[in-house]
Amino acid sequence: MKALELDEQIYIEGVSYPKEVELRGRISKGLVEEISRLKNEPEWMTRHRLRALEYFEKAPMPKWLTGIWSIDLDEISSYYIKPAHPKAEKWEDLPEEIRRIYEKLNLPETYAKYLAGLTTVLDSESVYTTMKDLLKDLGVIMVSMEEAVQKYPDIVKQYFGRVFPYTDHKFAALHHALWSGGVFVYVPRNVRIPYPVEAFFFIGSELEGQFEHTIVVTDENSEITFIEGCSAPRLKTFSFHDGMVELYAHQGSRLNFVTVQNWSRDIVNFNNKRGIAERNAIIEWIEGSIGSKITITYPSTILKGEYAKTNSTVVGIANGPFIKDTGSKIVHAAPYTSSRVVSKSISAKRGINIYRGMVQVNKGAKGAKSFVQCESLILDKDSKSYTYPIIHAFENDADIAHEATTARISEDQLFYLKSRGLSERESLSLMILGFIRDVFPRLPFEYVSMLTKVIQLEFSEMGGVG
Amino acid sequence: MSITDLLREGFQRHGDSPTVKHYTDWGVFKDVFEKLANGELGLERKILVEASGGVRIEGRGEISLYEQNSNLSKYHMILSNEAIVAGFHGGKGFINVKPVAEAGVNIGNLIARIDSPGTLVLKVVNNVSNGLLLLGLNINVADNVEASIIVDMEEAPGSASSINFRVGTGRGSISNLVFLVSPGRMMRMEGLIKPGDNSLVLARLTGVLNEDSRIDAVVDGLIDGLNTTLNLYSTLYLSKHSTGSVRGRGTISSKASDARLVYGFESILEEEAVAYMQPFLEVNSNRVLEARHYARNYLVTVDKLFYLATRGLSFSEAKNIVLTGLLTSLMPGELRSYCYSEIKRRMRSLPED
Amino acid sequence: MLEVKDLVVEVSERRVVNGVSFKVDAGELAVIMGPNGSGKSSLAYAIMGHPQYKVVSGSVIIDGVDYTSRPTHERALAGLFLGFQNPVEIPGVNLYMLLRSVLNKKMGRTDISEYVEGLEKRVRNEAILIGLKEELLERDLNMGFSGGEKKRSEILQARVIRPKYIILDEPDSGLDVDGVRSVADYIKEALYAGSSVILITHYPRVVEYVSPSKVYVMYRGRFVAEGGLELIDKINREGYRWLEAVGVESAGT
Repeated sequence: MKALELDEQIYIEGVSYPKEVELRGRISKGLVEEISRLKNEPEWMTRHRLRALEYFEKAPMPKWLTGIWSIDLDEISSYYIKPAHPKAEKWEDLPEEIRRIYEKLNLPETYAKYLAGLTTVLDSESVYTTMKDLLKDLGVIMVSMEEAVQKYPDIVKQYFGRVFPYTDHKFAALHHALWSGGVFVYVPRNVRIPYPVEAFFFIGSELEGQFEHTIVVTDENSEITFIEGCSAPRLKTFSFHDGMVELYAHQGSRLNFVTVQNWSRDIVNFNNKRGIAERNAIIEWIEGSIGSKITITYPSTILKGEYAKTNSTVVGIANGPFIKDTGSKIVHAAPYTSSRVVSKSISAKRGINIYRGMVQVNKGAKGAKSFVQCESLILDKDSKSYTYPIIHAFENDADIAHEATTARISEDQLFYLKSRGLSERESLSLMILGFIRDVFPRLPFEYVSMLTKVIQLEFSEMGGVG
Repeated sequence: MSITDLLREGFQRHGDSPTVKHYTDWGVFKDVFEKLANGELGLERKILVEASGGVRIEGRGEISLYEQNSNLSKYHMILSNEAIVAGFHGGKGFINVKPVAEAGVNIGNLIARIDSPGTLVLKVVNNVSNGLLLLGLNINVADNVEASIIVDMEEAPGSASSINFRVGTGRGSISNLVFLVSPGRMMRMEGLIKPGDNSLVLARLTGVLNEDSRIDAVVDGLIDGLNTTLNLYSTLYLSKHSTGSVRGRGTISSKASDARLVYGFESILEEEAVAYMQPFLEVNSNRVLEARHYARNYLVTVDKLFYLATRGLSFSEAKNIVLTGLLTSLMPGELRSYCYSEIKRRMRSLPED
Repeated sequence: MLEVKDLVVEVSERRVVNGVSFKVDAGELAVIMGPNGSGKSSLAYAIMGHPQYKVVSGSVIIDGVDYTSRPTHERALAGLFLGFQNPVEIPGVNLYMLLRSVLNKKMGRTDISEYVEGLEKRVRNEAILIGLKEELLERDLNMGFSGGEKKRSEILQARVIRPKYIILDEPDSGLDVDGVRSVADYIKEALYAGSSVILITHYPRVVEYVSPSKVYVMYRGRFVAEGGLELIDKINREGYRWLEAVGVESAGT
């Protein structure tokens, strides 16, 4: 019995999976050309898509993915041809669990409807429109990716596919061929956006796509905290997601990218996330993954300039027979760079948490410092945690450390809390919240309170969605 | 199947990514096996084994190879699976292993059965200059026995070897196992440690690599039963231009309960040295007392050296004492003094900064 | 005699010692006081020859020999010792290994890891005298030691090595009454045996038990006041505020 490794295929103990991801059907050149035509794209983008499609067809299946899911390309093609029926049209159509959770979360009706996908536009009088105006005044560009391709081709060309090229692996290529939706954000020199931008509410519909492509660029000395997703449970119209986020932090700037996801439990959520940090710049990834059937995400950063820094905080919750395959990949390509990764995972009810991390310190990256800390909590005897750290040290003058522990909640701890009057479930969710508290200081207040409630509901009678 | 057939299959297993090539210099193996298939190199299907102290050679057996991590085990199986069986009956025991010929492929297997408490030193010297040493090793510690075992592998700078091992310990046993290695051109080590119920295994890999030498060690561990502890620690000192890769998969199966598993890897690099560390941990249930792992790069900083210098040690003496201390840490007393003097000798032959 | 003459020291291009001079003879206790950041520890590091502390000018003379450009270990072998304020952790090395190596060196042996007759017993006895738990003797140096245990370990080393010129950097901070007492006892013993002690501190509780021959007050890299016990009394009463006035005239870069 073996298990997943970054460079190998495997089984997960007790269950045998096919060796490779199964791909059915195909994506035709005609479909890609049609997508481009419908979006009215300039020729360079059409050519980009077609080259990516060619690569997708030639590229081998990535060896580090187990065959635990299959992708139906014909189904994806038809998704493009005709938009799927929204899963619900009225509040009453929503699955009962979702309605109950929304009720327990006490969300204002407009937000609940927005979250549920019943409306695509938020009330125009909301506080978010004021924020939108402020951004405009600051000179920040924040538009849909499609609009950016039309309106700002020169800037877009500088970054699109440069941070995460389609040649990286097969699913990156698929993404580049079929991308649709996503946001382009550009923060001009010296502009510091004073509050976190909860993109979900500003421009949410754009981020809803199956293949959305988001680019955030911070020019010299600027600063932004960008939050995508939301912790409330969401239904999606698709079953396979292959999105991409490319970040570029110019000299001295600071880019924080926050993703919180709680999608229904039948979705395969595949992410391609990478950032490049120049001299003195900081890129921070915060990733909270609660829902979906399988989530695969390894936010990565290349520390290109001296003194560049990156922090990555990843929280993965697999509450039920689901898989969270998360991690980080950091390359120290310049001296005095530093990285810090904190990964917290919780597995329960046959859930599986996998951490894959790579830290590479290139020759010449003198004085580089890296610290990775992984903690996993396994709540019951049927759940699992696998940690696969990979360290490549090519420079002797570097300080690299990776530590990981796997723990369980002891009967003693639960007993102690129960003796103070908490029920078993309440005790459990209190300990879990304590376990993942580290993520919280980075997030805006209402975010934290919604996330806290969602987690409490997750581990109480409510359980997950879908 | 013949060697020629196998050469077509290569050495990496199906599913390995191209990166794995960097850990092991497969070219060395390919070259030797091609020459063997062409008749340009000879084949010796035996090794010289000398036993003394509490060890007696007890006959022949069949080696059990660990087949998870490369195709080398297939080559090994075709060439020879016959093993010499040595029984250790307590006290102090010594086994000296040497290749028969200085050239060609030298292959041999040793099964060591430890049935009484004591200390066993297994010394392997590889001076095969144009060829390879293929060594299969099975170490079995009997139920309720407390034993210390050191496997000391010293290779000449131009030599290469493939060592395949399996360590199994019995119920209620306590085993301290140290692999002390000085690789030559290329040492590939792959094996499995499987402790028995209610047993404790402290396994230690300590390596001193000369300039331009290379090691790729893959040490898997499996805890499958009750109340079992496996602690695997590795420290490699990498001189200029050397490469040290230590990988391993520590698994606690869902059948296990009250398991303790620690995988700790550490590398000390000189200029131009390269280290790969992959301590993988797989925990398949929560009936676990302790499961942790770490990997780190150890820096001998100016502050540490200064502290020792204020006590009268020159910087190079200070560095030496720190390195030797690190390389012999986490070992029980008797093994520590053996390793200490061996490491001192091997470090002395390394060029000064 | 240990003599420091017009020492000017820079670290990372910042001047931390700006012209310090003093002398200590056999059997003398010199106390160097001053607020945090005055350069006391930097002075100690420079006297010991830390590679990152550049001596711009001035000299360090031990028993008439100029050691200003000599490496640290030679100064230690000439009789210098530094008890650190924050001893660094050294995994892999324990007290026995360290002391064995040092004593072998002092005896002129080529193999410094050779067994030293009676060392183990001696170290164990010293540990009892100084109040250091025996199990810490086997542990990697300073790893997992509490602040007080680290200080005791420094004193233990000094007791075994028996240096001539002992610099103690804040040996009493973090110690309880018994600990301070044992540091004071050690100082008295060392002085009686003919060694010199330079005690660096900013609130000398130890001085209640031993009397210094000289007290220096350091501020912004310089000795701004010199005297005897009366200086210590002044600091105990008034703290360091009065230094501002004195400092203005003699402030360095």
